[in-house]
Amino acid sequence: MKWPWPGTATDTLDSAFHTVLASLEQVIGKNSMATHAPIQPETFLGADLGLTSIAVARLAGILNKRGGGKPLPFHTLFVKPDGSLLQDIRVSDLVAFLQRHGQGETA
Amino acid sequence: MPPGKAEKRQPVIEDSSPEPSSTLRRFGPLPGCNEPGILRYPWLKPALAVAPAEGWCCQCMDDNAAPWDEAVAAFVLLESEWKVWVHLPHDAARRRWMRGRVAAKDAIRLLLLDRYGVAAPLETISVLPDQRGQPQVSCAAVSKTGAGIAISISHCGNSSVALASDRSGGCLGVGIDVASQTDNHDGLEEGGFASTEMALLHDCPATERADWLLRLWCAKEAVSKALGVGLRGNPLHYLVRRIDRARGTADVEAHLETTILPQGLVRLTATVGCDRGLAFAVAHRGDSK
Repeated sequence: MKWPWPGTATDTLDSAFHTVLASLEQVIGKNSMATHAPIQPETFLGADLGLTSIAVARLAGILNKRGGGKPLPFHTLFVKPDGSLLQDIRVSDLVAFLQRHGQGETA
Repeated sequence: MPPGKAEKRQPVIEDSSPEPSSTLRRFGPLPGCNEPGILRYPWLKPALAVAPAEGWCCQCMDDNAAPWDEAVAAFVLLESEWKVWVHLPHDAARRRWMRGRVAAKDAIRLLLLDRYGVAAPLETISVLPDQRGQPQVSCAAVSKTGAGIAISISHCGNSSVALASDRSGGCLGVGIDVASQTDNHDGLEEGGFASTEMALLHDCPATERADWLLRLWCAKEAVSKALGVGLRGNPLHYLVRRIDRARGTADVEAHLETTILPQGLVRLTATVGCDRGLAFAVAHRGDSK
């Protein structure tokens, strides 16, 4: 899958993206993944992939396990700077979050 | 709930646990749709969990069903609901939303009929989310009776369930959540729970642990819905403090800012169980809390 921001594509970014893809495959299941449109950075977890809150919790748990380190504050992804909540996030938000926390490498 | 309520219900719907789904009482076909894969059932076990308030729970499944939601939309949705449904991003989201409306309206209809003797067709009941995403009921038949109805909806795979409860029994809010017992739930323990919560399952038999993990997750969700605020992006806002495996209950504490939950820390007991291949939890917020 081609990263759509060639100017910013780095090994870390690609690695974080592939970590997210692999984790999503674990949550959604390979068969279900095949029925979705290809996952892109702009894909929404809820609206496009149909992830429910339990699926998002699983995704956070799987990413934590893959990272192998201390639990990451995934819940901050859903909070806007003004404290209000986001109803949904994109794959790119998750990738950027992993990059910020140095969790790009697949365990 | 009046004395003998549970007994009165037995002839109406049956306890589902030991019976195959083919023997369950089901509703007739949806208007505008003869699709045989649409299955709608009352569900007794979660409904009884809101006692002493009166509740009805219904399930809607679309097993192997061809697309059906567009055909029934005109018969099931009010215009305000249709405007929400039609703008959902894709087919699966629209179908899931429709399943949830059908289950919710079935539960509300049964509650109105049972409690007030009022027959309300599907298309006269509106179930729309408020600003926080909590579904709210409006219906002319409800207004006439002076009743208020609390509703909660949950989705799992191709199944949606809804729990309706009469507010006049002191019910300020209800919450229901379901999760499939057969799905893979890898990562849930690490992503959804604190270590103190997992410690509550230390003496749980290994064969029951996975189901209890699901029940506890459902308990958090159900309490968050009963409070009308949801998980707010962080399952650790809700901590399971105590479980009673024999009684099938979980005490859940909500830790939210007072701007979200004015009463601050709140503790509710959720009834949890497994039935029809689903783990479920029901929470009920009474006016004494």
